[in-house]
Amino acid sequence: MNARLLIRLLLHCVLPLVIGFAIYYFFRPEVAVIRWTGHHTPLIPVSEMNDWQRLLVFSGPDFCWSYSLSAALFIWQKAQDRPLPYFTLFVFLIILLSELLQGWALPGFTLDWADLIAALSAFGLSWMFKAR
Amino acid sequence: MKRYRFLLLAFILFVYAFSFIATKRVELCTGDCEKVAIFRNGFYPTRESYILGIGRCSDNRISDTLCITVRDTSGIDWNVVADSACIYATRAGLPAQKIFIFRTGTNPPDTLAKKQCP
Repeated sequence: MNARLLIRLLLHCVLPLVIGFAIYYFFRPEVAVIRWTGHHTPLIPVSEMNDWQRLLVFSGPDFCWSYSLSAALFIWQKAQDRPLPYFTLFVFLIILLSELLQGWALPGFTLDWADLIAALSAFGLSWMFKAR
Repeated sequence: MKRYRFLLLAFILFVYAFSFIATKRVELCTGDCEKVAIFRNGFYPTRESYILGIGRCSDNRISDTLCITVRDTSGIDWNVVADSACIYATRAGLPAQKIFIFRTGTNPPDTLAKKQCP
């Protein structure tokens, strides 16, 4: 693995996941992955947050996860000998479905418009970086 | 070589699917909530044909009432069901509860049985 690829993986895939995890750890310890760590108390209760803080805390992790996944898939695609047809559409559908399923089919998850917009924005941003 | 690349793709999707599921919201259930869950898990399984829901009648933390919502079913002695509920509740660490058995589909709900447990 060359240094450039490693940096891309760390910057575009690992870092967003770490940021998302940190948001969950410090502000939303009610999710399973944080429960496993034994941490239960948020730094600031949701009831004391303003609208922007809530947006960041609730939609930020979705943005980070969607960006990271899109980037990982685009990096994988770039490593292929020839471009795969409809791969960008494939990534888009995965991101879209991962959000929509939260509202329709997965108990314990929630979906709102802010989450959906955050996830699709993350996909768009990742797609823009892919072209560079 | 090509096959390994698609295995890598599958691996990437698996890792992200796992991290997605790991962010499922899990409500803490300790103390009274845990005892009610033990009661529910013990009492419900053999009665799932007619019981629709079991829980506290109110959300306040000093509640001593257990509400059992049932489907309108003939041939069931609801007082016997309430007696059994008392036994299971006491075993779950919930003594001296008030048990209410309600039938759904009526407004206000129709109380089929109520019992003060010892």
